[in-house]
Amino acid sequence: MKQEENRIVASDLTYVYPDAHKHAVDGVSMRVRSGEFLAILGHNGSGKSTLAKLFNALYVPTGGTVWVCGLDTRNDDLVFDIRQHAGMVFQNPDNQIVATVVEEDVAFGLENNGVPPKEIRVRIDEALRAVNMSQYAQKAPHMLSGGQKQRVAIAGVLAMKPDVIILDESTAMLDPSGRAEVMNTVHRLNREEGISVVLITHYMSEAATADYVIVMDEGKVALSGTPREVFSQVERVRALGLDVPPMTELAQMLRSGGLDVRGDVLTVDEMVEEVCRLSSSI
Amino acid sequence: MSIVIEHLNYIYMSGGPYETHALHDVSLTIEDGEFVGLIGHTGSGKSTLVQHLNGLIMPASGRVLVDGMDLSDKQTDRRAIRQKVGLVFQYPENQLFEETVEKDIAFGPKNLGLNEAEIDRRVRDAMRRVALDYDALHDRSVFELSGGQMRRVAIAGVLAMEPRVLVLDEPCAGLDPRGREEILGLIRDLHREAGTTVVMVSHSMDDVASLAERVIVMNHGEVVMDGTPRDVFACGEELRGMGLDVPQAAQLAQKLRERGFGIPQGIYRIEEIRAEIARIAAQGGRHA
Repeated sequence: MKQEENRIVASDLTYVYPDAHKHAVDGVSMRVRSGEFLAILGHNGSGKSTLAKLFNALYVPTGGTVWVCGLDTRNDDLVFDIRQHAGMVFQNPDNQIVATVVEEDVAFGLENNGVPPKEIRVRIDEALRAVNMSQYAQKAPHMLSGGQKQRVAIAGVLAMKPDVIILDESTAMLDPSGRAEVMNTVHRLNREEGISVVLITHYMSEAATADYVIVMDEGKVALSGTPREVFSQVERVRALGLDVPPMTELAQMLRSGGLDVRGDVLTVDEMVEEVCRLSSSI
Repeated sequence: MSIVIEHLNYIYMSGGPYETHALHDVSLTIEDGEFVGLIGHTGSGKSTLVQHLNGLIMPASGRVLVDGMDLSDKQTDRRAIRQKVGLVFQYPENQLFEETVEKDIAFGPKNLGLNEAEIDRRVRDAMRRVALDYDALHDRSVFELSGGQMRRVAIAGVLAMEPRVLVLDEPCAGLDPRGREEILGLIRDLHREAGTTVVMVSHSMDDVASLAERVIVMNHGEVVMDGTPRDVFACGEELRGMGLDVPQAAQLAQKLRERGFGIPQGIYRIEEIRAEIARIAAQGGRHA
């Protein structure tokens, strides 16, 4: 595969926190392809957030290499370029908004990068439109809901015209409708703009919508594959401290009861089809 | 010990441009020993409601009676109320501040003026209830602990007050699945073993479905549903209209009904729908 088809490439990547004895990330090799939607799962302390921070040069590898759009994150001079290519959205909506007006917050990164004012105006408008927040451009961020704040944070990243958006548990503190807002936004950007997405999450239902899933454990990649391949390994996924989607669990219960249903069912609609098939085959 | 709420109203920023009527004429009774799941969209008023339960905020109008004592009455001893009704906030670990785990948990009991031996008993008991090893952890800094452990220390601090009623606002928010299981397990045990009344605010319908005996749904500052999980989760359409989910087992039951399968109303647990599908497979359940 040609280099430009990969947005992020990690090769034998390790990271040790200062004063720590254990490797937080321990020999990880992986890649994020152009236009791919990748979910990273793992219990707390599994290394998934550390991995995300290595992906946009917030951390520099202890060993191994990360290339972001061909740029080596160990090179200090490339840090700003790397963060423009790979933008990050964090967990707490209240910790990443810096301005007192929504559109000024979106402009923050652009101003720091010396983008001309005319161009800034265009990019703010585009970015806010892309996250459906245009009507809030003049509003004060503290009057917004959690989901709206996260969409403003995504707009701030989008304005930099990134190739990859990394979301580090960005839905963890949101209510179900806020989570749906963020997930719909990210999926649309992935589909329509071709932006690659790295989604770090505890929600199996969110990971189930990704193209590819990686499960981290003890700093290593413990499981990887399509959501179907990963979640059908119910026992293994549980042993790694994760849930399986409820419908996958149900499918496994039915199978162990001797019923001929697929073991890799993920959604309610798929289960409906399986039950219809079961009843018509009698 | 019951909590009685009568015609409760609450208004944020009253008189200002952002005035918000957060609670509208809420009346309900929480009986001793109940496990209540309180659900609602963000802004529905559920957090405002639970802050009334121990007198953290006072009604604009209406009354809250805890064990017969009116919280609005100037004569009522608020401290006594807060001993009876323990409130665990969202992200309670943000409020840990003492040097050690033991000191943090002991903070409340100390303020009650209890003697050393009683404080020590309560700290050990609270740590046992949240499954934290006293010997290994009591003199550790709270900031050396994992996120799940910090949250359990914060809950232990409330349990050390030995409340009759435990109110938890989103106790599992932001935890990974294992941490969530641990917290839900300890809440379940407290209810079953110690008979503590529990009011749990949650966005997770699956968590509420697995624990609560009674579900109260709030929308726009009003109580719009109040019943068993079976009755409430049977109203999938209405819940979705309020921006809420229903458990996936209930969604599946509804969709199978729409396809003509004879699935009884009120199914909301995975085990129940499993039994129904097994029955369909055995005898063919689709009505002509």
